This record gives sequence, structure tokens and C-alpha cells, in this order.
Amino acid sequence: MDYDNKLDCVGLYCPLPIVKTKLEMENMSQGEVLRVTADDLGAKEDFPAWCSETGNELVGTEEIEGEFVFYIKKK
Amino acid sequence: MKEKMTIIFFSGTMDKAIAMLTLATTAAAMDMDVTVFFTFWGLSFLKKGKKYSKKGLFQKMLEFMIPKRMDALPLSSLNMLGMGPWMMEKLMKKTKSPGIEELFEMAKELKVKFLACSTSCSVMGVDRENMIDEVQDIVGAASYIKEAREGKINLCI
Repeated sequence: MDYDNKLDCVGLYCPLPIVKTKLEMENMSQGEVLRVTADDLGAKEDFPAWCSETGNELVGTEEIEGEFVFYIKKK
Repeated sequence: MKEKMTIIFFSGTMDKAIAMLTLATTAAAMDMDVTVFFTFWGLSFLKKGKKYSKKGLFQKMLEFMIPKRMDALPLSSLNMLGMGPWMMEKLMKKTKSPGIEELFEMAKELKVKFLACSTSCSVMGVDRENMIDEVQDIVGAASYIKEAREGKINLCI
């Protein structure tokens, strides 16, 4: 999947992956896609929840060897 | 207009401060306006060092007994005269989980608002000069209730 920017949150615990994603997306433009990788156990549920609460679109997810990958399109 | 969340931070312990900061930063990252109101033992979080001048005897005793700033808070259980927080810090560093300072930096970046309770400040003799710069204001209960009334989530920790 294509993306404009990426953020590595592997090894970070809640709430850092969500907070860092939020701060990273503040520097992006509308419609751009951020690729986030995380391995916090809560990330699988937290990222879809964060997206639906903030209106950003979760356009894709992958799971690669215990790491979750999220593609988030900025609203 | 953004939705609001308020937290009363009452307890002044390290573990509960981490919970408070985790929820405050997460809510702010979810586009909420977050206000934290520090009262009673929670005031220790906002202090910068110990200060004994201009205080009565009991206030001096209290100042001696309570933590001097946010990185010196005890644990709410298993404190073991300071061994508990020391071990917890080691454990958190080892597992790379976020500590108080890191979460506090995030909270500032996300514009979480910090308010100190006026009565607690007066009773304990904590003044503006002895509090960290991030404290936006010293306010009373009515100011908190005003914020909480607009709050979609209101917590006491």
C-alpha cells in the first residue's frame, strides 16, 4: 500500500503509539497517508478506535510477525 | 467545539500520576480539550522543590513530609520507604514503558491544561513561585465545576 509518511512505534507502550501518531499527523496534509508500525498489545484495538473518534480514515491494516501495521489517511 | 475531559488529581502518588497522564494525553490525542485539577496530595505533582520560608510550623512539617516534586512521588502500595518507586522506575526503564517526565512532556505538547486548587495551596502554603510554570492558574471549586459541567468525561484519580 502507498503511503506518504511513516512512523515506527515498535517497542513503545500505550499511550505513546497513539500520542506520537496524533503529533506526527499534525505535520501532514489532508488526504496524506501515514504508515504506523506498533507492537503494543492494545494497538490492534486502539488504532481503529482512535481513527473512528478523530475522523481519520483507517485505510488498511496488516499484521507482520507480531507487529501491527496501520495505514491512516488524514481527514 | 471540542469535547471536554476533566480529571481531578487528588492522590499524589507515582502510579496514579502515570494513570492520570496516560488518560490525559490519550484524550488530548483524541481531539478532546483536557483539564487536570490538582488538589490535596495531588499538589505535590506541581511543586518545584521544598520551600520552608513564609510558613507556619504545621505547614513546615507538612512540607518536610510530602514529596518535593513530580519525580519524587511515592507508590500508592508497596512503597516500602522508597524502595517501591525505585524498583518501579528500574522496571519501567527496562520495559521501556513511558515514565512521568516523558508523559508530562507529551501532555504539554498536546496542550493539556493544569490548574491548582486554591484552598489546597493556601492550606499547604504552596504559592505560585513554588509551582512549575506549566500551572495555568490557581482556581477554586466553581471553576472546576464549570469545566466539569461541560465535560463529557470527568474523573477523579
